[in-house]
Amino acid sequence: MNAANPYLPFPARLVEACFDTPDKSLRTLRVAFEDPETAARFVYRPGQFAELSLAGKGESPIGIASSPTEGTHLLFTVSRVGLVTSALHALSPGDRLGVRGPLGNGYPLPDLAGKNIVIVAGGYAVTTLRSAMVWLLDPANRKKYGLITFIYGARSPELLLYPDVWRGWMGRDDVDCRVTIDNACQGWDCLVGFVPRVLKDVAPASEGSAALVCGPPAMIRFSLPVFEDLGWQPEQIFMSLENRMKCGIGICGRCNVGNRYVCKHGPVFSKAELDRLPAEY
Amino acid sequence: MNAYARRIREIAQRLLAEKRVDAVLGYRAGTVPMRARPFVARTPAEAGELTWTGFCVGNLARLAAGLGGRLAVCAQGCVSRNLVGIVRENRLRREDLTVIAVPCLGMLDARKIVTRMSGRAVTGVREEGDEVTVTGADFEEVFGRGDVKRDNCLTCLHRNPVLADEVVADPVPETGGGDIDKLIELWERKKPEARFELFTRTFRDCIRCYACRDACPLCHCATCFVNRSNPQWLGKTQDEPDVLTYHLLRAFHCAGRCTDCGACESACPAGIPMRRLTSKLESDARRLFGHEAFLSLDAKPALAVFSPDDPDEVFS
Amino acid sequence: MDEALIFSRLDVPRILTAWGAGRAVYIPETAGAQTAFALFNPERGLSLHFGNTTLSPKSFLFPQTECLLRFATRGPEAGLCQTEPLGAQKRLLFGVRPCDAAAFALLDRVFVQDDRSTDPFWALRRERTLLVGLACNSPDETCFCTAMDGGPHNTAGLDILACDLGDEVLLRPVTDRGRALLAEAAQAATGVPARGERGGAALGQAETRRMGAEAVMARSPFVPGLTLEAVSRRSQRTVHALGIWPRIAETCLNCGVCTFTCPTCHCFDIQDETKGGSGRRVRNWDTCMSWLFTAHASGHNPRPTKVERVRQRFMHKFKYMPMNLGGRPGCVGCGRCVRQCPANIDIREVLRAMDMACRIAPPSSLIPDEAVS
Repeated sequence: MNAANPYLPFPARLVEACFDTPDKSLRTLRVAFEDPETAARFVYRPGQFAELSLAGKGESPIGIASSPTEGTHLLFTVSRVGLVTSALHALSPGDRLGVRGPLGNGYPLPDLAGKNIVIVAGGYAVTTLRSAMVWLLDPANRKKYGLITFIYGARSPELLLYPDVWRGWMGRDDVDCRVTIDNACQGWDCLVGFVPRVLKDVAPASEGSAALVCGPPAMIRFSLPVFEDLGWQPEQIFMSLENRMKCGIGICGRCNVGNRYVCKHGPVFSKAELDRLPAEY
Repeated sequence: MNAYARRIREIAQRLLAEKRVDAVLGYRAGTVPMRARPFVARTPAEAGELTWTGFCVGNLARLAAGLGGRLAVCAQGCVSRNLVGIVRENRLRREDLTVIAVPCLGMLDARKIVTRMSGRAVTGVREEGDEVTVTGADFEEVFGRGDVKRDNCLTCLHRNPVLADEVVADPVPETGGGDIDKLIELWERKKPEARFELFTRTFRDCIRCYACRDACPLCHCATCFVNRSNPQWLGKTQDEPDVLTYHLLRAFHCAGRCTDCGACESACPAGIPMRRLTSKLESDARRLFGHEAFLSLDAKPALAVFSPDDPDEVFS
Repeated sequence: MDEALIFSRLDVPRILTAWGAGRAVYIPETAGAQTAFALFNPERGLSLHFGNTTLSPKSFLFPQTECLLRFATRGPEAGLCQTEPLGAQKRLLFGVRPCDAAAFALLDRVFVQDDRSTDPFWALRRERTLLVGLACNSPDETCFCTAMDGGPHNTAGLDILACDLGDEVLLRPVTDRGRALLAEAAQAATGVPARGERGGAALGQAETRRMGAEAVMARSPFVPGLTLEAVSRRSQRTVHALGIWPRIAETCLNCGVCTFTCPTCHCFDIQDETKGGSGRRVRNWDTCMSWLFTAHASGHNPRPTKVERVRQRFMHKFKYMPMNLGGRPGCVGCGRCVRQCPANIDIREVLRAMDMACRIAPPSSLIPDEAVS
């Protein structure tokens, strides 16, 4: 965060980018700060986001998909929906952009030390959960946590993000990695079935556990009752919200849900907190 | 005016009691002096609050389309024409609309009264025939109605409603007596540079609150051009070109449809004389196309029809 | 200068001129039905007889359009943003009403929250602007500051509070900057310290005027009993789910008059603009009344209709802000929205409706409510 002026982005360059899906609606950008000192001082936590800035076009709040354990480059997976994101999709390696952040509160992973962690991801909402998983599985952190379960689903195989990462987890014995698609498909070697169904099969015990849940509304709607049936309390479940944002620091007044600003008090909220806020999101 | 209020209440209570309408859109007393508030009465008891004073400004047709159901609307001449407008523009069905026709003797301009009071606070206004009595903590002054009438009411050409399902009073003289085309001379006499200077000066105090747009019954686009971001048609800053572009574009969208009701001018918190634009639009439509907006449900709007002998002159 | 000083009313222009050394001095001026802060011109003099300005003075610290950053669009520096430097202009606003001053104090807490959320533009302008208030001796019908933790002679947010005593003006310092400012005034004109018999009389007169002003508000049909008490007790979910909102919203035009004239509304939009080889990132006042305010690029909008947006405004003022600011209402009772709303939607009535509905609404089924009487 630029101390003198929180509206001033740090200059950065696009290192490389690739489209994640055949329809090219999602593009993962690898970004490097122009100034190594900035890179060193940019300390972030899984679950935080940054405002990606293109001077002349505007800014877009994007979750940080990389983990701080992966070095000073940042990964952002951008969905092309409007003016700024279209311009982000059109960037070429070497092009300049701005990064303003880190913003938001991030997942409360340090507070969950000692617990079993269940991660439930659907569609391209998996972006900041990639950051959480990579962080958790880093040798410096893994031993501080109990069982780690990763449940991730998409409509079809080509819509699954980051196969280079989760395929590696499949072979590990310190993580239960379940990747699923909606309907059976030739050549698919993992699970078939909606995410809530897989969650039900896993039936994670509530005792000493916490869950990070990010996905489309339908997935959330059917997954939360599974947790409830297993005796999970709202304080144990964490979700990440999105909203239209501008300042990103809780001043411009636009992204609030109830008395909480998604950009500053969130984007991560426990289910218990969300239950106290008006459901206006 | 008291007789008007009585009649409106009678009609509204009957329509609601007989369940001929779901709601009656009219006015009730304002919470501050010199104001009347738009009000939706849904029961005969609520209809008892309906009133009619010289401060029933704004244009109820603006709210009519959004309320849904079968609606009765208290409408003077200009409002009734805008009701024709929203029916023609498919925002409301004629069969869902009951027009409570209110022949209008012209509305009062609270700002004119305030200016004449030179800082003394007004606590009440009484309207009796042609006299308007303004009272304060320690004063009482009487004006002729014409002295404090709204400008567009002075030059109104259609004071009797063009639609009427219920009638509140006998028809009144159709025009306000003033010469509407005299206002146009403000523009006509000037060369283009001087016109631009007047245009710029008129909107110097604009704060882009969009009250003019939101008070206007013509502005019912699902997404206003101002709210588009891809592409974005105009800047949102206070830079002069952006402010002027907004007003210019909106004026062109209203051209040929504007009834010069003055709701925009009443709504503007900065007191901008919006009518400098709307009166010109109205006059140009009459002069160039022989058309006055929304006088009947059957007449086609001037700019929605092409005829080979249309004048080449554009709205200027 | 620690204590208050009494000056002759006729000396005020001279004092303002003295304060104008190195500063731009603004005073309220009335033209027709509009009152606005304008640059003080000694030749035009000034009047202490005005209600309040049509627009709030927040634009002095939070301009409607403000450039945040600049950048080049071409060349090796393309895309590199630089902070827009603020001018060194010092200002003094004379005639700020206590309600607007309280709004400045409230906005201080919005624009300067903590290390991460400090707006340098507000902070700098605030530091460079001195506020001399004018106590209210004759509140307007629409004033209700006393119901919003304020008062006609309150000093919160001001550097000096002036009180019009007729032939004399009492200047009361509030802050250290105010004390220094008062010393400057004492150099320009003869100020009698407000102590002893003479001082006591003046202070007594000011007190009488204060009580008179409060009595005027107490006599308003809207003010007595107007309180946030029940709203603060109930959960935000309960207040949000009250059945009153559709009726309140149905005649609202969803324009931006209330938000733009309001001294505590602070929402803004950030946009980029380019022209040729250069560009700027600029912020503009925005309004929660607009559909675009919360519209996601995907097309989803958490506040899709007028009802949600109208509810948001009143929830923000009377529930969310007090929750975040230790109970301080988000409204200062200046009455501008009441006077200027084209549809005459009266915030005092809305609060009363919220209050009554909160007293009788049953406990929220989903979560235990804080206190239901």
